[in-house]
Amino acid sequence: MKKFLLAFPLITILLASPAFAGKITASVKGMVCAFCVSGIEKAFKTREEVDSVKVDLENKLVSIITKKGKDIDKATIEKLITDAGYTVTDIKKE
Amino acid sequence: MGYIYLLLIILFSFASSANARPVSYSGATMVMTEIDHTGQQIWGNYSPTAKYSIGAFIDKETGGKEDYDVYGVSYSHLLKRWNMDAAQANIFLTGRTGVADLNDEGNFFASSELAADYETRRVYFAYMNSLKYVDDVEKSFEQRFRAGVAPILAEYGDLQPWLIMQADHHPTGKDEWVITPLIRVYYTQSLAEFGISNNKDVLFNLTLQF
Repeated sequence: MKKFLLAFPLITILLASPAFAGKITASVKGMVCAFCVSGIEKAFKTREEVDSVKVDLENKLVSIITKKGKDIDKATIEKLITDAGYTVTDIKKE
Repeated sequence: MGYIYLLLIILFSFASSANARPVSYSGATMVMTEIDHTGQQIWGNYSPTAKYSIGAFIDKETGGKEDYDVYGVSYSHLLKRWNMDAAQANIFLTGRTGVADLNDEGNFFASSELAADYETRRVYFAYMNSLKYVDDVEKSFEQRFRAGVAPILAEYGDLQPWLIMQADHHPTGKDEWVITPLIRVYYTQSLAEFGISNNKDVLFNLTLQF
């Protein structure tokens, strides 16, 4: 019973954890305004692998969270950002 | 003489009166309205890629020697973009053609516009010029200079204000120089501008992006 009580919250935390999803951060040149943000967000939101996307204008970063069990390769990320009109300098996967 | 002017427009096809960039991201639709001392305009365009856009416009011209309405189509092209660490610079070319309605008479209309801009999160500079041809009614050259500063820096989703000084040069217009201080506000996918010129004319521009 004691083991169950310990295991239950652990399982709950693991199931709810974003560790099952992936986080990708891209460094991007040329983003300066709200219209830049909406273009990039719209490009990623059309992808079924993507759960959410956030653009940090101050640090010139695009953070992409993928859905559980889904992945999006670096070439696709670079193409989506380039097609939106910007330049990718680095992509990091966590 | 008119044909030579028209040929010059086509050859050098120089740039845009839009206050937002005339080409957006792939799949974007933009609707822009402009009201200022030159008249009123509504312009809708669609960008199949981030390189070009196609659109249609209705323009009520009141800034020249004759007042007339224009109904036409447009093509805009991103000639060059520089993506820098903390800035972006662009050169756009826009061509327009249509019918100018003057005293219930249709006249051929063509214009070319060149627009260049440099923008960081803090400062903004833009230059635009326009060559316009309306049969025997108007052959004009206009240019616009803009410089702006963002007093505060907002993240996406918050209001981003800009303070901008605009100078319009109309060598053949009613007023050769018009100076307009204005406020620009970005909010997510919309941009609004409001100002009053040295001639007390109101400027109001609105751009919506979908």
